[in-house]
Amino acid sequence: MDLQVTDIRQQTVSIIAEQLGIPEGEVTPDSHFRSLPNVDSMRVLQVILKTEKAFAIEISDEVTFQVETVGEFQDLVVELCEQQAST
Amino acid sequence: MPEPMASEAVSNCFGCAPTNDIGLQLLFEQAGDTCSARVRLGSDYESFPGIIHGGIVAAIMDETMAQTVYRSGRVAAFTIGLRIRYGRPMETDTEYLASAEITGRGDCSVRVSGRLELPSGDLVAASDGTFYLLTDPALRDSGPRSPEQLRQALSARRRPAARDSAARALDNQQEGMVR
Repeated sequence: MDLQVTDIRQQTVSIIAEQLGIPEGEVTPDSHFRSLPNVDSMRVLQVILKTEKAFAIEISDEVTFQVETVGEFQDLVVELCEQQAST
Repeated sequence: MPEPMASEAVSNCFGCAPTNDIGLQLLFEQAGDTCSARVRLGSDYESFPGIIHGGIVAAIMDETMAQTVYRSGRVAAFTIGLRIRYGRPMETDTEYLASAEITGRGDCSVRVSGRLELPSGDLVAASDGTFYLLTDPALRDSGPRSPEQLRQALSARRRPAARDSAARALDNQQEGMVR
C-alpha cells in the first residue's frame, strides 16, 4: 500500500507539472498552488480533470478553495483512491 | 434537447433549431463518438459585461452532450444529471468549440463528458452529464408523466412504415445539422 501511495503522490506531481508546464522538481508537497508558476483557474481545473481521469475518482468543487498546498492535494487524492478501492 | 419535439415540421429547440431567433442555433459536426459545434455569442447572452452567462454555458454543454447521445444511437434522451465546472469566463463575440464524448453506458442511461474551449485549446468549462434514453419502453413506463406532444413526436419517428410527414421533416432537419 505504501508503494501505491507513493505512486499516487508521484503521479499527482507529474500531472500538476505537466499542466503548468514546469519541471516536476518545482512541485513539492509544501508548494502553495497559488504560488506555482503559470497557475490560473483554467489550469487548476485541468489539473483536477486530469487527476480524476488518472485515478477514476471524483473531486468536489470545493477543493479549489480548500486545498492550499500540493501536499494537501496529494493527501486528498490518496484518500479518494482509498475510498474508491474500498467500495 | 437533441431530438426535435414539436409536432410541427420545424423544431424550436433552444439549443439547435436554426429558426429559433433567441436560441443558440448550434450546428453540430460528428467525428466518430465525438460531437462538436463552434459557438460565438453576443451581449444578449451575457451576465457581467463582456461575459457570457454561466447558465448559457451550461445550456451549451447540455445541448452538446445530448446531441452526442442522440447521434450515437439515434435515441433521444432527457438530461437527468449535469455537472459544470468553469475554468475561465466565456467572453462575448469570441469563437469557442464545444465538444462531447460518451464515457459510459447503462441499460437505460448514457454518461457523457464535454468541454468548451478556445481554438487554442484553453479550457473554459468542463461538463459531465447523465442522460436517460427515451426508448419506447421508457416512454411506455413513464405513461402520463410524459407530455403527449413529446410522446407523439418520438413515436412518429420510430415507425418506419407509417412515418408521417412531420416525422420525416424532423429527421431531415436533424440530418441536415450533421455536416
